[in-house]
Amino acid sequence: MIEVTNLSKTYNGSVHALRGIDLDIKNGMFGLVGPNGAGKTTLMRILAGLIRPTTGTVRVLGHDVTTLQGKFEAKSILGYLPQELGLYPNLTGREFLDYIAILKGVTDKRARRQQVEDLLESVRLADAADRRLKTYSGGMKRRVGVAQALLGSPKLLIVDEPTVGLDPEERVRFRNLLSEMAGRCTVILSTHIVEDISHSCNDLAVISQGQVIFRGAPGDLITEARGHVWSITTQGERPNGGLAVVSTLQMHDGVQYRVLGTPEPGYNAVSIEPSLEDGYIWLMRQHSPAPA
Amino acid sequence: MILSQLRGMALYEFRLHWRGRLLVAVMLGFVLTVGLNVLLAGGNVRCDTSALTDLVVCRQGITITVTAVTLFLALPLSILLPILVAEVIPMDAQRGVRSWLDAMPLHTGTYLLGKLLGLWLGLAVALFVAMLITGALWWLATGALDILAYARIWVFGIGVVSIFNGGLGVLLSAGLTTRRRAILWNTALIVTLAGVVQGSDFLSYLNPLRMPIINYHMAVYAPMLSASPDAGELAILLRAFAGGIAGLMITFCTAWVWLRWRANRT
Repeated sequence: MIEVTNLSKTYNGSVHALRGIDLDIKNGMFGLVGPNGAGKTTLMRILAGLIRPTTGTVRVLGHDVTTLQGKFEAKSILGYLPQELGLYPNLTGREFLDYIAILKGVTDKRARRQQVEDLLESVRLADAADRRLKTYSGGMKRRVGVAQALLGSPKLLIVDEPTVGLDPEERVRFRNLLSEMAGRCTVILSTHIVEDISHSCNDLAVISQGQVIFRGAPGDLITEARGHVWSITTQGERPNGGLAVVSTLQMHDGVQYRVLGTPEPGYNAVSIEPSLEDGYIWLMRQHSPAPA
Repeated sequence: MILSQLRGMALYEFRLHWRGRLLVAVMLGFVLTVGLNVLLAGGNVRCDTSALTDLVVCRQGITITVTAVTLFLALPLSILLPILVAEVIPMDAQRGVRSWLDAMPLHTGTYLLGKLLGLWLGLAVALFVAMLITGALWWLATGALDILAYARIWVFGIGVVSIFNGGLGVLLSAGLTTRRRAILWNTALIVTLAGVVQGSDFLSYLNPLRMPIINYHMAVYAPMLSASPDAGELAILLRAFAGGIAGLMITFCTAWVWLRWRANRT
């Protein structure tokens, strides 16, 4: 479906955003997770044909996106939601989606109208469809962005940090919408929110400093942290000894910490089952440069 | 698909211009300029004579006045047009619209042409409405207006100037990424060309105020000439049109090459 080989991107000759990435992405929902500045957006933009890699090849559904023709072919089967979406403030939600549908090549007026109405319904904007975009809240604008990405029945959907600005209910709804889409096309979801991945992806990659440091199923990432996650209850003092505190919970008899690492025996630590977030943090710790 | 994209872009760009209110400002600028002149002229331009010979002479005089005032509209146009064209392509980049627009199956040429058509459609409607309103003003003030001559000066005078200059402005600012930069760039262009190029035979066709077109109309309607243009005057007009079209085409190709090169380089 998508083949990325030895992909590198360097900005201004010195900033290495991607360093020799190899990825093979099949149908379904693929999660790309990593900290801010890891190179996720650069990779998404290369896959969407918006920027050229410095070296390496990218084939999207058989089209080489490093060539002009291949880029154009790939764009005709692509739905893309960028991290920051600019809108035309003086168009209404319905007009904006209609405009996008025209640009995406949905030429039949009736089919276009139907698609727009269905998507407005899906992202719960039907009631606000005739309001101008400048009157929309941040979350509503985000939903318009989601709807525009889904227009034209794309075969590949690239969504970059899609749940930023959405409330919990919208986030769940959006994840479900993406999962539904994954039955019909390949969905690449880039995020730094591990929870988004854990609920929807069956295949993921963790990227850090421009390199893929993990590739596999969410279960495999959880396994990485098995035996390293502990629950420690103290009277308030924070556990030390190189432990990473994942969460803190105030209890009536003290403070309960969820930590990663190897606690000292005096803590009476209890081993607990890791979550995907634990697996991710454990992995990042393993790959972070050692303190000087 | 390309035709459908062009049509869609033209219609939505037109809608965006209209709702952005700058076109209304252009229209109001025209109406106010003419209205002010009508007020200043007062009763001096009325044909209240019953003698036929006097009426013909009077009408000729009115046509000359109306022509001069209408061509004077190039001034508010040259002030407002840089702001209007800066809204077209540079604002797409400034608003972040390009972040998703570049991911569409849209050719660079289609994008440029769609943007141009949208602006031209908007200008055409604004000019038409302004022509009707100012025509009514002149009619009320003079009582005798040569409607054909009046329409001709709008269509082949200020209309052509707007279309040529608007198109040039859009294309020349296609590579810019902020509205402010585009306004400055287009204003500088108008000031430079209008000031420096004046008088030079060939370069005057590059003049954003389109002096050949304006000179033609002034010559045709000058009192010493007849109302019908001779072959020499028409040749000036045709050369001005050809110069405008050639200028647009060359600029279109340059903008197209530049945008393609930049897209391929990023």
